Amino acid sequence: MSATSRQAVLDALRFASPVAVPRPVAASRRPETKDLVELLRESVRAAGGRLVVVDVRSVAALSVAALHGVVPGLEAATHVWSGVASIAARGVGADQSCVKDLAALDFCVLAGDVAVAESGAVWNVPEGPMERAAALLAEHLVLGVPCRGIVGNLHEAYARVDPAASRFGWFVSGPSKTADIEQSLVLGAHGPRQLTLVVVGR
Amino acid sequence: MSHAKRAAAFVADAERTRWHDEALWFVREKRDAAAASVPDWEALRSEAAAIKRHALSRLPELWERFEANAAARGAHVHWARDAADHNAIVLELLRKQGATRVVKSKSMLTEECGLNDHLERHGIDVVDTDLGERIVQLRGEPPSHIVLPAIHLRRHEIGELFVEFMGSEPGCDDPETLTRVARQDLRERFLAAQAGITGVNFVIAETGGFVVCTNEGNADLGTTIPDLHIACVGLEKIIPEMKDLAVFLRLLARSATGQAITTYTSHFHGPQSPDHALHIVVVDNGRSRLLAHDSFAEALACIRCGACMNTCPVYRRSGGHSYGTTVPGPIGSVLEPSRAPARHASLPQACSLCGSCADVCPVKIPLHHQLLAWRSELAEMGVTPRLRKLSLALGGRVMASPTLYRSAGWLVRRCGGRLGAGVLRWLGQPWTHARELPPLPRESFRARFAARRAER
Ligand code: SF4
Repeated sequence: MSATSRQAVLDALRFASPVAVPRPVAASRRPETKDLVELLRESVRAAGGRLVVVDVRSVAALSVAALHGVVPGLEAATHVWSGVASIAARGVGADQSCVKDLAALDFCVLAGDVAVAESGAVWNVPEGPMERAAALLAEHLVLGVPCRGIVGNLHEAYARVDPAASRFGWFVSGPSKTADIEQSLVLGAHGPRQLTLVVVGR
Repeated sequence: MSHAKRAAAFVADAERTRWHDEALWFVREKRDAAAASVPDWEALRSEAAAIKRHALSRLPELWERFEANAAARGAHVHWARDAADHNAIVLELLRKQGATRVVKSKSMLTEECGLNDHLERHGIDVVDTDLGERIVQLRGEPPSHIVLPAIHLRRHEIGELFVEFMGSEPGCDDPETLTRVARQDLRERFLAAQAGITGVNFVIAETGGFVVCTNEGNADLGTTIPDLHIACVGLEKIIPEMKDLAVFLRLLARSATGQAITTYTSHFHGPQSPDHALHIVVVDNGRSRLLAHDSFAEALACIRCGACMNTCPVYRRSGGHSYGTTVPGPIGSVLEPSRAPARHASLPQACSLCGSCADVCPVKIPLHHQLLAWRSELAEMGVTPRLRKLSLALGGRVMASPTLYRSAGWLVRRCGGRLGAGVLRWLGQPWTHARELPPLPRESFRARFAARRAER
């Protein structure tokens, strides 16, 4: 069935296709003139999250101590997933092989490469499905991005990241949300209820 | 049943109609603010429109490219000519996996194909996981909007529904509490799921990948936990290159809800891990037929943002269910008559031709021109409603003959507005239900003109 369906669909398309329309030339993009960190802060707030700036060398150098006071609750949390080398996981062992056990996560701390100032979206490539599940099941998602990873708009972001280089990658902006009941916004639809974006360095 | 008849059921509840109208207009205003915040918004729309038209002119080539690239990444691509093909493929995949508990995230395509019914008939439990979709699923209704599936419902109705299905506190209608109840209920279903079905927002020919956008994270949870992911996609969703995503993603959420971008914009390139399986079902179901049609092919550029619904004065006041279609509103009224012209003949007639839809559409589909084109098309097919045909024929006769025209004018002026309203009512036109005809002048224009001339 499959082979004949394929042929039938492609034939129908060929038969129906209009004369070729050339690809348009890309429009010129006006670069963002506002201060990118401030614009990003505004966008993250609009998306329901929070932006903090922490002065350490790199995202990899982000430690619990460096986040002291800027991510309340992290120090005392019992269940933490960490995708950042200098923050130890708690309550979830490296041998954790069952996604279902992640449902108790308080925090998930991950590194992002690029943050888009106009929308608050952060590009992240989870280290496998378990980490992706952790980012969805934790109550509070913390994303670290280097200050020089902030770009104005999505065109610039796609020029920097290559989503095709990994099986899965995503832009994440703010905590999970819904407004399906009378258009009233509720944070934490299925995923995290809180998101903190940590901009690292100056 | 005609659009007007179904709309009558909706507007019978005046308070609901008012709320619906205002809530959607508010979304439209948020869209305006979001659009104004982007420099070169109009240039972006033009670019998006041009990329889509380019893509639509070379679909076979793009899909073949996608198929080769996706296969190289370990995904399986299936082809479905119609809804039956699609449903059979999905059922077969689930059976092979032995999956009976399935979670599904928003997909208008699977609604169009009636997938849920089909799977349930074969003993598979399908749970819609988008909150709005779950609500309408529990009510046994279709979504009334493509982005806001439960926009036709008020909070107390959802509260009552949750008491029945999720054991929530009777009398509770607080959106926050109800969302928590649903989150808890659905989380268990996610954890127990054996397969996840998703729709697709954009397919990338260049890389063999695709993108799914959600705010809730349901498509992500639904494809992380189970190890089988089935993505269902219509032929129109393909774009040539990865960088085109920037153009469409900047437009999509801003047009849809006024957000700058959805919370999750997930890029899938092959199965997520060697232990996961990814199947992509590519569906025609009437799309190639539409592509062959000069006047309506452009409707395939639609990125399903819902902006045309939010802005439409008819949609806002008549509710999505009044269309009796999978996709309601202006774009639905263009798409659906191509499937069943006689059944949906009243939809293009419901339009006021105000053109607001075409003004907001991020891919510049000339929606109101297409609706007008449908009216003549349907007339040629002979499926214009009989009364409309009659009144148009009558009008045509009167307009064509100066004598008839003058005497008809005289008659109407003599008998006053009451006759006009009476005739309209007799013709079954709902126009006069909530409106009075304006007072008619005593003299005809011709008579007044002649009198003015004589005065000079
Ligand atoms: S027709 Fe245009 S405005 Fe309407 S849903 Fe499609 S893309 Fe959005």
